[in-house]
Amino acid sequence: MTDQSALPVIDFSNVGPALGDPFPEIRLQNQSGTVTDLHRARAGRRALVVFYRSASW
Amino acid sequence: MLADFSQQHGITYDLLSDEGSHVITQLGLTNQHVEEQQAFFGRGVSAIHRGIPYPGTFILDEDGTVVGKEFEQSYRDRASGSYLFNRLGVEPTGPGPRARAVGAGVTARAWLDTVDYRPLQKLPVHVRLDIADGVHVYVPPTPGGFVPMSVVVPGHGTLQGGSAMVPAGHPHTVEGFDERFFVVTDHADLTVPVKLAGTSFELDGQRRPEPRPNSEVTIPVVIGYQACTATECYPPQGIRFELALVEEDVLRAER
Repeated sequence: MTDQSALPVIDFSNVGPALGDPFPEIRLQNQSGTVTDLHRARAGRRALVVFYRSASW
Repeated sequence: MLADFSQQHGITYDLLSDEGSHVITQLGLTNQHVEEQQAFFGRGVSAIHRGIPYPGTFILDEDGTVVGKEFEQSYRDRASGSYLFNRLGVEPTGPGPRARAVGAGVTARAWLDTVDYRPLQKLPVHVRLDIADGVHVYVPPTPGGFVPMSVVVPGHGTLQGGSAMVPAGHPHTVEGFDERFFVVTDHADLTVPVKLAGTSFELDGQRRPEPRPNSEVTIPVVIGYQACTATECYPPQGIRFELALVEEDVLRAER
């Protein structure tokens, strides 16, 4: 039986880094296996940092 | 997995692997509502949901400061690439339906920078009003009896519309009136974010039992304004455009 309860309402202003905050330093492996520093890779340019659920669904 | 994914989709930018969800946790992005969200769509929770983030995007300026956040209440709703580029301040350059009309004192254009859409993605509808020399257009707050600029996409069954945020105007004095007026001159650029359900989904993200037969959608764009010169005011104007899109054939795109 499907549970059709409502979607939770989330205040995303309180989730993750806030507007006006510096985005934290991040160093992770990219798809080539190279460790990538986000801000170094950004090199002073504007950027989009996208969080997504999965690359395999 | 990310290497295969990026190759399959022709992705040239970095995909970063947060194995163990350490960064997701550090940033406070771990999805605490997975069970409720899955239940809304009649789905259960399994091990693959452990440690996943809320899906969304941070917009950073040149200094790495967060200047925008795009997160949706439903994980099935996403901002499209063109919408995010628009938020980033990048000029849209993709092909798409366009329309143009000339009203009193103003040339209006509306366009989309895509010819097709994916269901449940947020798309920007762009409008530009070029205002003739010597002409000004009222923007809110506007005293009674005067019509402020407005750009609206009325929604319907498969389209969630909205209203554009009208640019702030500069103060303007009208002889014979004590009230404060605000006007825009030269041009105004406006954007209305819209969402389309597509053939297989409803606007709330629920999957339809049967797909709709027609994937073409018409997006109406309704513009209202009142323009004046230094010596006379034109009657309030209304301009309506209709922009057509078709649903992207996702399977074809991924072959």
